[in-house]
Amino acid sequence: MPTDFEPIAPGGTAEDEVSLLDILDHVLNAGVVVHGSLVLSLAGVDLVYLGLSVVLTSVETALRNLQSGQE
Amino acid sequence: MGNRAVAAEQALYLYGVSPARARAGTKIGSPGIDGVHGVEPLSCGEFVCWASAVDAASFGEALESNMENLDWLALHGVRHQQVVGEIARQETVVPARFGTIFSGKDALRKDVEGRREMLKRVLAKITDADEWGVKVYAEHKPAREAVAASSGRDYLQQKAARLKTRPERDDAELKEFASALGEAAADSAPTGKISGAQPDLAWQATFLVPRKRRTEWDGVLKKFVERWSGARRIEVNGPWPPYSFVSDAD
Repeated sequence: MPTDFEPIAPGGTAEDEVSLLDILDHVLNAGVVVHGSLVLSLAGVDLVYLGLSVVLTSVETALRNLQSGQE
Repeated sequence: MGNRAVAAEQALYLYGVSPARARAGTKIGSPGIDGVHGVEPLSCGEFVCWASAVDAASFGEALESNMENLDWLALHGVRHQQVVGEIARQETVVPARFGTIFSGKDALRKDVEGRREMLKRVLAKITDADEWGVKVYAEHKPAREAVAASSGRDYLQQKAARLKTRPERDDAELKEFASALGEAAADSAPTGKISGAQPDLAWQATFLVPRKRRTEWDGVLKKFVERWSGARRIEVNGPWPPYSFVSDAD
């Protein structure tokens, strides 16, 4: 792109990888509402918004889990 | 699923829905939401449903409490994005809401059949378009930040000064920026439920941008990057699957 800004790509190389907060922002930003045979909802997710520092801690843990290889 | 016995306690986790013609040759290499089961294209009439097997107990009954477990949410949110992102790089896909689970193929097909018209409408809207996140940050003024407060009063004065320089959310230039981006995009939506508490974040939104309008879109970003040099920093992330533009309300 002939611009002086570079978009941060989801799932790009480690260096320009988008933050986990951004991933959760988009992944949890609606999506088609489907009610399966099991009743599911996003109930409770508001609790996530309470503390950024808590989220960040969790994000680090999640990254470590991912880096140490999935099952 | 492969050679695993399909037991009664298994359910299907849905990632998204594509037009049926999408199916040929599309392979998803990312592991499913549970890190174990692979993602398969299931024929659902006019559509292909991307799904993987999950344990009904840990993904169904425990979902609500898991959503409040941040370690769980972060790990599974990333897995969800890896799969939906991989699909979206190959096919048009209507992303399912995070945590959508069906008891089995029959229940999934029945539900999708009941949503045919809505799915077709949404597919038409998101075809050849990507979601892009845009954030505007106020640039740091390091000199002021670096001074250590010598007293409580000093601290409060510094804090007041910082708050005073914080950009207003209804700032006219931000409005102009949002409006220019909106003209280059097909749609926009609020975002930032998770990351919105970041310091110095002045504004953010997410946009649905048709691929054929990328030049115009990039032009708007470039213009404001130059205009705000030193005062505000623009951060763009994407392309995302169109998570924010597929709600039933449309």
